[in-house]
Amino acid sequence: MTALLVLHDVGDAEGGARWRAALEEAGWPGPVRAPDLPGHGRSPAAVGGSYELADPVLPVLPSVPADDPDPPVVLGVGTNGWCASVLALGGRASALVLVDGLGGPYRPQAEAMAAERLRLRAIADDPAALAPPPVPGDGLDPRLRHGVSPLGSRSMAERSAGATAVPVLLVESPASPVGAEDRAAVAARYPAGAAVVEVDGPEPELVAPAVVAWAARR
Amino acid sequence: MPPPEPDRSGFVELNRTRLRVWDWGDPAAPPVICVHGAYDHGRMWDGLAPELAALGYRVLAPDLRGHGDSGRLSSGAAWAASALDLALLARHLGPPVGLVGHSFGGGQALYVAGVWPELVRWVVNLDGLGPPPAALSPPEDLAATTADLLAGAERTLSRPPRVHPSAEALVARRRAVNVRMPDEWLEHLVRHGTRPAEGGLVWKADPVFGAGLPAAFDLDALHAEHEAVQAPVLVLTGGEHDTWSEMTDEELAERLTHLPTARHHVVEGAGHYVHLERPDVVVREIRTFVGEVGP
Repeated sequence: MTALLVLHDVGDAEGGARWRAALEEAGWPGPVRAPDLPGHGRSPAAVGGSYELADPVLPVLPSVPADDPDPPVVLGVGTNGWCASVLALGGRASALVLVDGLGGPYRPQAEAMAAERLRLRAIADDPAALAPPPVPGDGLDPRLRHGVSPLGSRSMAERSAGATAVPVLLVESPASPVGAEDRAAVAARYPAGAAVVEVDGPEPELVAPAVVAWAARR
Repeated sequence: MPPPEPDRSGFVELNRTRLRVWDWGDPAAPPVICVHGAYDHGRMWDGLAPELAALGYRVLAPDLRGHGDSGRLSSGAAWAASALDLALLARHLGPPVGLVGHSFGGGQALYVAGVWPELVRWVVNLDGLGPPPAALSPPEDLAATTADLLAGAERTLSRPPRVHPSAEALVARRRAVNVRMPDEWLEHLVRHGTRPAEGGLVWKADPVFGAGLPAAFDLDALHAEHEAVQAPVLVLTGGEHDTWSEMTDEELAERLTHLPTARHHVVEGAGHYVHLERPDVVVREIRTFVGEVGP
């Protein structure tokens, strides 16, 4: 009865609740843990309003101890696919599921840094993003409307894939920021291969049956 | 003899945090913000700041978030949030400002200048052009490195800060790392960088600052940051071998090619803490620099 740990996408105002409900409804054969990450759902905002790409790893670390004899399957959605990948790389997952979670759009570092400059300037000019955060449960932290910089490096995505030892499922929807060619290149790097499933959209209700079916086949 | 106390100090609330800011000089003078390095604090400028104030500036030295008396962190270095803090502090003061940064703070100063060019008049970077190329290369074994980083973050988050028995013990620890730093500065940085705790002293710097996780930041990204800087830049590096000054002359020269507005001066008789070891040369070089590029 392997547990499933879901890291919902950055900016998902509902946090983990909809994912938990969808995966339970689809019949995941074990506990589903889908925490509201900082600034989402009912969780308080990050201390000092600091949101960086891998930060969501830290609050979930206590739930994935290194000595767990039955580590969870970790599912990462969108930008937080990188956090799920980090947990899998670090030996904290028995399998990895990425929902539009390979990062991207992949681009040269100069373009990625230019996009980050624009993002920071937008935050600096947005009074709501600088104001004290809402109380937990009172909606998405407005700062998260500016997102966080995604993994924009295809070479890093490939290196990460090449070092991931656990089974992998890639769930890709038309909303994925990664094109077919990039996806194929990254998927080919997983040492044990990666199952790829295409779905009509990234919504939990569309993704959950594919995840449960994959788990049943394993 | 310890350096004089700052003229003023206070707290500034911005960007959802609270920054302790140390303050010297005429409040109506053009502002200069001095940015300390990782695990240090604003009082490291107690020597240089009065000298800059004497050149006709108001000098402000914040404790960066996660350092000194400023707000805490929930995750590692908080690079973007810290840069945002500095930009909003510059706006609060009335831009454009001069930025003087050491080490990590030098990197922050360049980054702020690249993101918000309208806020920054010039930058003085004190041995803060980033780690050597090898340190920005991907690890040989990404999985093992990630496992180590996760274990390190777990330890940091689950344990209380380490208690040290005495100031003398902390001075000795820093001396072992900062091998060239003068004793009076080791003592000064420990005095203002610690707080009492049961059984001794703990560093004020938030241990969470060190909770790093894998990222895609590499040499190309660093070059892109530097190439975005439009303001005039003065880079001062020490001529002596030192910990934290790990770039070869060739690597440093190559790094500078990505900072087209920079001029570089090697400060003989100094290592990584250029401004603490040779404040006379640093003040002289800054005076010459601002004489050429404007206040």
